[in-house]
Amino acid sequence: MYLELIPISFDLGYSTGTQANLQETSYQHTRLIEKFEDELNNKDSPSPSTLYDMLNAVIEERLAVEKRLQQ
Amino acid sequence: MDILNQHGDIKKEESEELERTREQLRKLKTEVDRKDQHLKALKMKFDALMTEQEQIKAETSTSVHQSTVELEREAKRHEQTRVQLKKAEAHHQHLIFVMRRLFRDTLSIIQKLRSRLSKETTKPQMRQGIDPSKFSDSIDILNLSPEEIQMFVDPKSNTNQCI
Repeated sequence: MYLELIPISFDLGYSTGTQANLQETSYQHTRLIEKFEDELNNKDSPSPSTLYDMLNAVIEERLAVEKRLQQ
Repeated sequence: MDILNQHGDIKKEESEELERTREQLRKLKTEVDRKDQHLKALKMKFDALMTEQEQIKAETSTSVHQSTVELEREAKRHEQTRVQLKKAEAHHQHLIFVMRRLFRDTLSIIQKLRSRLSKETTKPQMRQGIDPSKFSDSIDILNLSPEEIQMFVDPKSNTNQCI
């Protein structure tokens, strides 16, 4: 999965430095968006599998966070 | 006698002349026949060439017509392909737009959810940090409930609770 290649600190077990973690996440999200844009603007042609992996990874991440919120 | 001899000579000369003329005429006739044959052969050749030329002309005309029709058909097909390509490109751009939007929006939602989660994770910790038994004297003196003590000790937490 893409997030395994570019891990995002989505470990929600943090109790201190919450603000720093959110900033870090924001930074990594920006990096992910840049990667996604690079893939979309690929000179040859975008790789469907890479795009799928990236999209799937963020959707899975969203589901995981939502699940944690419900708990 | 002389006159007869002379007359005979003249006749002989005339006869020879006539014979020469006949011979010439025969030669001329042969020559005319030969030339006539040659002319006929040439005419036949000319007719054959004319026929061939007509055939080539007809074939060329058909070929040009077919080529023109084929060219027009190809041009039409090319135009249709160009329109299809334009549509496919527009479709491709729309898909990229949707994917980009989906990706960015999902990340944005994750960020918001995480922010919410961090707030919700922090609140109980803050509440748990206050042990009412530590303030038992104050509770007794001021005659306050543990919730009211909570307000004094951690007004921020209390405000968050209200919100």
